[in-house]
Amino acid sequence: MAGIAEPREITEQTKELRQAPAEDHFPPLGPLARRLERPEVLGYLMVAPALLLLIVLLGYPFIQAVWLTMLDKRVGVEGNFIGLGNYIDLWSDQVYRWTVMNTMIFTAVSVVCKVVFGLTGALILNQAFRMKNFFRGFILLPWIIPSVLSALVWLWMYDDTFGVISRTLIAFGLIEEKILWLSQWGIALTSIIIVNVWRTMPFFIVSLLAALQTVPKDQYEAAEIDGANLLSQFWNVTLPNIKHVLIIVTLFGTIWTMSDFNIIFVLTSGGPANSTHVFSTLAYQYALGAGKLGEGIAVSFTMFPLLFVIIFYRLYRMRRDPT
Amino acid sequence: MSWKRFFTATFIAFFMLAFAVVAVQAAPLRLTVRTVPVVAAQKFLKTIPKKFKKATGIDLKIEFIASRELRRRLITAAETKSGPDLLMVVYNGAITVKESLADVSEVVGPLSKENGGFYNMYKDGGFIDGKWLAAPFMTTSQVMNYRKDHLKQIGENPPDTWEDALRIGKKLKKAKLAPWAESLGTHVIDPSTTILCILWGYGMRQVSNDGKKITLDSAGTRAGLRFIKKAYKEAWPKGVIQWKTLENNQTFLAGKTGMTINSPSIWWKSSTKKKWANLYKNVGFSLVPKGPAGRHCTAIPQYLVLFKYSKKKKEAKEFIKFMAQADMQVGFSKRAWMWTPTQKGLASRLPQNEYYDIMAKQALYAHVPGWPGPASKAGSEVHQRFNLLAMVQRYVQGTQSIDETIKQTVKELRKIYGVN
Amino acid sequence: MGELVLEKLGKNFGNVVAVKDVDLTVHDQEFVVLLGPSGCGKSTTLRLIAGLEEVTAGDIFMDGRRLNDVLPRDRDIAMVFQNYALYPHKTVFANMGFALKLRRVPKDQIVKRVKEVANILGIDDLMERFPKELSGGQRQRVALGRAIVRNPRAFLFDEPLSNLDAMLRVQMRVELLKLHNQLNATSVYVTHDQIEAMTMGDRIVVMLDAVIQQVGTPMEVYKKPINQFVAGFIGSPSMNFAPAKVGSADGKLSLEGQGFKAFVSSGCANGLGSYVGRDVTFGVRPEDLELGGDAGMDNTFEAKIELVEPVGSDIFLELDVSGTPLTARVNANLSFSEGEKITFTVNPNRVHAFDVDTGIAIL
Repeated sequence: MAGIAEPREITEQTKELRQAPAEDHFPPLGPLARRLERPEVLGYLMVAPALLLLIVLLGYPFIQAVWLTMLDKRVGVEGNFIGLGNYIDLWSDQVYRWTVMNTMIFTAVSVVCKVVFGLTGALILNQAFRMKNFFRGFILLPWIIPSVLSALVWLWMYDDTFGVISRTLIAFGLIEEKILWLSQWGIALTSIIIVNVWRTMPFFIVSLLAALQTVPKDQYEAAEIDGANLLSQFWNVTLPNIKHVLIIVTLFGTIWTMSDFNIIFVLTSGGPANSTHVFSTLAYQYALGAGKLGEGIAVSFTMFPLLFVIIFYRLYRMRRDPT
Repeated sequence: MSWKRFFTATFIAFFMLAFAVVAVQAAPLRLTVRTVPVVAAQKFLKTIPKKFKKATGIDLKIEFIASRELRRRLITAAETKSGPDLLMVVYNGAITVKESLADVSEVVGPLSKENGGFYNMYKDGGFIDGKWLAAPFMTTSQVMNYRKDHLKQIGENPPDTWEDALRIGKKLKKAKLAPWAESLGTHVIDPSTTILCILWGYGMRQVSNDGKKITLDSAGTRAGLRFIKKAYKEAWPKGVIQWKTLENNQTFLAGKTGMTINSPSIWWKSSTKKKWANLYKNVGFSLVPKGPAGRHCTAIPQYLVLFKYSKKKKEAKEFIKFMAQADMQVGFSKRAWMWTPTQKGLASRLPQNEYYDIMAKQALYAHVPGWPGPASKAGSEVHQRFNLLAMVQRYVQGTQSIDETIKQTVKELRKIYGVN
Repeated sequence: MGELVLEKLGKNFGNVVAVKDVDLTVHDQEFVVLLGPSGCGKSTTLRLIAGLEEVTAGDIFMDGRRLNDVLPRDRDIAMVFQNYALYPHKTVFANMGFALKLRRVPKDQIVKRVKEVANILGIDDLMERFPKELSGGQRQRVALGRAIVRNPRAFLFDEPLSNLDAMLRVQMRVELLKLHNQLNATSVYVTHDQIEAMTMGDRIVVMLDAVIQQVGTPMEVYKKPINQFVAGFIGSPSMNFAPAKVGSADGKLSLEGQGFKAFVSSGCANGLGSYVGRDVTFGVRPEDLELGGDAGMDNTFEAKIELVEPVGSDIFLELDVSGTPLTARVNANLSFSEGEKITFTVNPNRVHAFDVDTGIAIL
């Protein structure tokens, strides 16, 4: 019998503890102390240090960054205030518009693939089979390797002369000529997405696996008896039970994917013809390449509203969800 | 505040100030350069602080970083106003941060008149707004590398013109020998510079000599673009469209390509391992081919920049002078395979062989991306943002016609240069 | 309709035998309780019936149809789980209607049926709530409702009340019984709580170590336990056991232990004759130790009170009878003090004796 602690017992215990020190054992509180003791005051007081730290560590750089995007700032020079000039410039910049589209496609496709494959992987690893623990550890490998290193390995694999992927496909007779994985917009973006998915999927698998393991077994049994087949068990038991983890994981995945730099920088550097840039690589090109810090930060910054909308919507939905 | 406290505080403040002054005085001159892969040359660099101290009594500390880190270091140092006193930059790096750099004309001006003066390209990236803001440090030429054995087999001499190169390339391909290949992927070195060699040779000029007019849309540009597309279609491996800067070295060493414009690194590298012994014997250098508009090429000019924030400007200038000495320039070049001096006249003191000969000659034809305009941020930006490379890529891949790709690039350049 | 027959049912988990040779017929409309300590195989038996575990040996029949290879969803059986197993993201209505929805029952019929059942269970005002927003008792009712809605051939209950607190458990027990009387559905109910078993079961199946020990009505099992385990497991406080020797004098058989000698009424003594002179285990229920009697008379003996445990309706006395510990259950209106000496009489009709080696009841 699973001994679940009755909440009632806990509250009673706490009550006892609270009542234990009779009031006359302590000296009476002064007016200030009494005011501070009030939960609504004390609560804020206690989160204040953390809040302060957040403001200093996150708020200040954030505001600084916003300010910089409004300057025509170049490296080593004080910039002049130009309002939304950088953004207007960006909008008329064809490469930037491509980049917006690329980022959306890259993020959306990547995240969807990660969710689908991650969930599939987690479901497979959640089954009992031999060497299960080995595979559960093994699957983490891509996530552990520094992304620059793995990107370099993939670059080598995509190489037209030495690359193992084209060679293997040719050896199996699946293609006749070598595919130039990084040579054209569509195929290059696909290649990038593959590496990105490969790299971050372990995080999805492991998180979702952990979530799957918390799904009560008797819900599956109840569903089985109620007449649910495997698919409807998945929809009615598995998915709702791991929903919150799935949302969080997707959220993080979206943020990480959208701000991925190393893989794209190593694989295509935004080429060919600046067609595979995402925000981070374009920002790098503007800020560190051309030395236009204001414009570069403005590029990164346009990621913010997108992320903000996604995060806010997700969290809002989650808070409203009664289950 | 009691008097006692006041005195204590004053004393501490004074002590700290004194300490800071002494610390600055005692700190060595800091120099950051790239790591040199050639062992003997790297050793030579490491002996420099000792020699410099002996010659001038100044302490010097050299920090070595990977070459790909140089750019990041340059931007951070300029923006945060902290870092080394002297930093190595390549191409047009100095222009990007020109406001943060100290004028070194005082030492570089006289040097530019010694030993036949600097190679012309040094002005393109170091002589900015009428001042020397970057001191020439070392030269790395980019030359045409070829396989002597393969050319012999098809009965050809190394190419003198681009048309020669194309003819040879087609022959090599037909004979199933290691083909001609030029990188066309996205990178600031090989692909960006190779296309300039060709386009310049055919007469492309992105901007007028005074930098006041975009002159990209020209017959020369079209001819150059057509040549590249032709070479890509008829001579080069299809994969070059995704090659960055290492692939031509790797394929050349693996015997998969046999003619390419590159720094002498292939030649040096082939000397380092037994398995490449045969290749080493057969690597030949020739000048980058010329086109109807003459012989033009890029090289990798390396400079030292002195930051305005430096507290060691005098010492830094001493070092610039010290490094420009013939002994240092030639001493380093002799050991470094891929490096040659910055002054034309010193070529005669290099080892007398075909390789150094070509390297030294090649530098005479070299320009920095952004040429023929005067050193400008716009020129640098066009290089860093791959506008010209993208123009080529679009045309070669057929995503745009020759008119469209030139038109789009002209538009981009006009915006970057802020002129018509 | 719903006659459930188990024939030589067996289940092994690897080398562990969980259920062995279970033969049982649950008649239509009968309420059978599987009772036993944890790990005795009662839950596994239930899960075998439900189809949640695969049968290792034997057969399961429902109204003559062999169920072994039938999927759980096609067995027409409903189950109520210990932890309710409600779908946390579905409302009460959706929870109850889920099985019907899966069976493609038209929406209006689902609504009608769920409402009907909710009415019976008194949860019609909870329809739009989520399980999280319900109390333990309410959740229990929803879980019941989910089973009832389907109108199955048989209900399976897996310790459904064990997560409720004591008060609620009693209340729900009564409601369950009423419900059963109303629905008259074949039910198999697993519990380790003998009070639940005694009060609810038409018949009780006592299990130990994967094997059925005894099947019978509550009173049969209580009065005539088949072995020492059943005797000890059923009844609270437990039956008293003490080592004894079978004696025979004047044609009367007696059980003689340390500090007591109990004659057995001749009507019950059938099997005991062959044990004369041998060791057996003497057993007597606490309520069969009757207060009073004159010392020296047959079946009467003196005891010292070690501990007095008033439980309200009764008093439990922990006694020391010359070294043999016994528990007696006496009227709460009397008063006792610890250390006091009292006399007790053993009812000769209610004496039990068990084989020392096998534990099988001799009388």
